[in-house]
Amino acid sequence: MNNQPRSRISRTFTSMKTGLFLLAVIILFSIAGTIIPQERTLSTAGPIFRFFYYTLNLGDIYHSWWFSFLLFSLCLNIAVCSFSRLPALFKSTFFTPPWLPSIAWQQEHRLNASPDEAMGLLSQTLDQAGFRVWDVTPYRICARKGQLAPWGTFLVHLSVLFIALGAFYGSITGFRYTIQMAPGDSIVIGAGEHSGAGRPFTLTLQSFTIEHYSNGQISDWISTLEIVQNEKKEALQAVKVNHPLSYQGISFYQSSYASLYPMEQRSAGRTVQAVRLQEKEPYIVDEQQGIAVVPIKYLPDFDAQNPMVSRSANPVNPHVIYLAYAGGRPLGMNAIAIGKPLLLPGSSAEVIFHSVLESSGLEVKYDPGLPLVFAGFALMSLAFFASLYPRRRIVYAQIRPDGDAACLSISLLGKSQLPEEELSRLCKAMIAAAEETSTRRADRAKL
Amino acid sequence: MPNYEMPIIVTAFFLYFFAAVFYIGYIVLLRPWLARLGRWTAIAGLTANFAAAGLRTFHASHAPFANMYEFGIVLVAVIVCGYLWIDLRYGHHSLGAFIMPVAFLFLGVFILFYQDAKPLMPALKSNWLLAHVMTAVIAYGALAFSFAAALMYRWRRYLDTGANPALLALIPAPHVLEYLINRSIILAMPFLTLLIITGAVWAEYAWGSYWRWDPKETWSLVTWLVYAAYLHGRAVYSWHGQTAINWALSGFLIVLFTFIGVNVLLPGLHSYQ
Repeated sequence: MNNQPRSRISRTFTSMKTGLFLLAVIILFSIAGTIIPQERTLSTAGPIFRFFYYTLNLGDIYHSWWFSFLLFSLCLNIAVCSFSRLPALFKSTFFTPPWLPSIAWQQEHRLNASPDEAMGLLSQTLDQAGFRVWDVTPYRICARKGQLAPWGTFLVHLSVLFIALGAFYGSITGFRYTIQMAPGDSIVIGAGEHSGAGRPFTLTLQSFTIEHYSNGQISDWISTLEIVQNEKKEALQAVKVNHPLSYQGISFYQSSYASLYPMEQRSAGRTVQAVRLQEKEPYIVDEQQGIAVVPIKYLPDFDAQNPMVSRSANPVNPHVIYLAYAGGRPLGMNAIAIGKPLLLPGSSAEVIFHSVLESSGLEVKYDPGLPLVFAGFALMSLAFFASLYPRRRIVYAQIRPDGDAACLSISLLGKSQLPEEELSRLCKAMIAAAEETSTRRADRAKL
Repeated sequence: MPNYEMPIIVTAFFLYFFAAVFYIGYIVLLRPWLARLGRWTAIAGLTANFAAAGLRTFHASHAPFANMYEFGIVLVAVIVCGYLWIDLRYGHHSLGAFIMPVAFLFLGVFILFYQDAKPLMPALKSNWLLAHVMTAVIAYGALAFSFAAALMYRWRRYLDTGANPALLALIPAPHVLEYLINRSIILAMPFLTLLIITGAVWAEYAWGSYWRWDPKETWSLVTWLVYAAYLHGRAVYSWHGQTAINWALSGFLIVLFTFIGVNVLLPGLHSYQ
């Protein structure tokens, strides 16, 4: 008694209707994710909305537990639906199609040929039209075309599973993060929490250049990266957008660029701290008094008349536009020359911006699921063509003696969109071949 | 060197408009010379369209695939080419009354996105650009054709209630139109798949991320899922007639949003044009 409802639930969950329902729900929530701002945090909202927002993770729908569950359910449904059809698929592909006990003949024609000749012509015509032909009985033929199409459909579904599996495996075993490097910087990769990719190695940014077209538009960001492992140089490559560097399964992508501001805090003529700030990164001079400085922009050729725009790209009068804070409040933006001490109000400390470095932002990624995902992509690309372009259909035909001639009865079943037209084409070819044979026979008789 | 691209593409727009008018005139007035005039006007428009695409290639020094305007003028040229091939081969002139309005409206929209030729930005300097855009042209072109044929199907059904037999003779039968719509979608679907896959592989090489749930990616997936549902409906539940046509029509509206609406309304990786 208990098995019945369970099997009903199981059947429902693994039916194609459920698959289509899941597809519809995923479509709707995917659309919702493009409309609801995916900000991950909520600035102003009531407590109830805030509760639902964070519980359902509406700020990051695509990574929420319930969206992942929907995707998992769809994959499970695809797997069960596809594999449960596998025996029938084998049977329909590799076994001779059975002769149907009662066939409603779609067309009947009288052929000007003997039954044996008509049989030969029938096989030949179907063969030329790309059908695979079986002689069921001496005067009955069964022919099939496009029987591999259902395998294409099966492989498309299998490829979806490959992609999902690869994405899942990559998400739990891989890692990704961004590093900001100035020329000459070195960093150890593959150590600590990111040690799963192999032995650690040292990555050095040898140079970073920005190339421009003649109109001033950026043509490329080029980071020359060197990899050293066990004191041996293993790789040296110019990394650009679309040209990543891969080593031990870890890839480095050119992702951004930014200005770095090496600066020093001094007090009573002595260095208190030397740091390298990123653009718009605050440096807190005195936390208690709320004194801080933020580099905003680098101007290589500062013009006091037009302080926010550089006169040229040449470092003639290099300045840094900064924002100072005192008592936790912004004091407004100002400019300071590179190398000149800046005395912050309310503090005896002074800060000096020594120079500005162009730095390269690199995406570091290790994704062991990627080969499976790409295998899924390749399989899907091929399988879709195999699934949709050939049309699966089956022809049943029989020849009966009709005096000196033969009578052809023929039907076409399956996925042909215009079966009458296709069948008529086949019959026309048959009749023409029979007439040609008849004419040749008559010519031979005359000779 | 003066650039005549803008006046030439505007000429193509007007020629497509007149071609549409002539083809519509053909099915309203039942005058065969109007269909012939429509065909020659469409050919003239296509010539201007190709000339504009050629000039764009010359001035930009790259294939015209870098932004929505460039991609759009190639897409419209492919749609018109496809229709003219059907017109010349099968003599289905009446299809022009539905496809040419789609072509001229598309071109009008893409002209609104006109921007001067400029060199490729770093992310677009990849061989994947060609594969990505060509698959998009084939997929969207075939789906535009299915949309026009679906509109024609609806009109043909409306005429069944008692129209002039001479007019009915000009228009393909509903089952032929349904066949054309289905074949267009079947032609498009593998290319729609390739469109997403080439985009994903390219994004992996460019940014190290084959899928980011960017609005354009998400809507491409939505489009793909809608047509996947259509294929399942036809294969398993034997959807045909109005049900199948309604899916084809609504599917293309989603294509339009994915193609144009997302770029305009939802910021993301494809909003740089």
